[in-house]
Amino acid sequence: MEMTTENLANDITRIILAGKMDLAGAQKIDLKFSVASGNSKRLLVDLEQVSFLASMGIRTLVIGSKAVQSKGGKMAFLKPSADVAQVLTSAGIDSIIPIFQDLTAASEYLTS
Amino acid sequence: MADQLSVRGTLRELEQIGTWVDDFAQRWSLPASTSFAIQLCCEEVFSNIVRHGLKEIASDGTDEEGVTLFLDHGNRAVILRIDDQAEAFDPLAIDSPQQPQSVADASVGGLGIHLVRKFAQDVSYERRGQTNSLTMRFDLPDASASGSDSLAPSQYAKEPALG
Repeated sequence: MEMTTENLANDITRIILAGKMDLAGAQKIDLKFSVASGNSKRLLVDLEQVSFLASMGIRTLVIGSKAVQSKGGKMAFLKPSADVAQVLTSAGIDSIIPIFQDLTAASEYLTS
Repeated sequence: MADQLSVRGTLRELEQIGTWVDDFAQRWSLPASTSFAIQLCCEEVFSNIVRHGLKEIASDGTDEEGVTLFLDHGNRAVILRIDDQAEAFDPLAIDSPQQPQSVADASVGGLGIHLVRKFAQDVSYERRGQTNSLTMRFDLPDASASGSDSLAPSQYAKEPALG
């Protein structure tokens, strides 16, 4: 599991995750993700390159979202695969952290 | 004959389990979504078994403790069975987590088995002697739900081929 961060316009932080978000993957990035989400009020989590997501990965993402929201911010997911999206919807996470397939739409949500 | 893998009750074994499932999926040319579902269920069930206090006993295939996984490819479905020697525990007795209404009340407690229920077409638990046995069925894309050769997990679990 790899994680990179980039800054987009309008103070949006884009975290790009790549690889398997299984237990090992989640443990690998847990601290980095926590730090990055703690520093952002507009967090876009790009899941396009995430090939797998399990409950421990969801835990990392949810904890990050709590940090963002505690500052009055927003978080969104971008372009998860169909299988990864199914994990998010099965867990009910999409109802509290929206999923977008389009960067423009995600950016509009985060800045609204 | 089912594929069988015996592992120790430690989370470090998740990598080997993942490779084993990958090999099976490639050998049978399983659809990516089916392989994904099996991987997910293996991870969630095995993690739960380890966290519920299974002793770390090295398994050489003959020990009675540890965790044993079975994968079998039928005509219309793949059957995954996971056996462990921990104290009696039925993961299906755990309530599914409530749908979170906000980020603040989101939690992952109980989420693992909830995902198993969503990604496997059928899940059943059985206690046989000192063994917890969880069987999951993954229908293949062109499987019919009422197909006569589609076994319910509870029937399949008793088949000699799975040991």
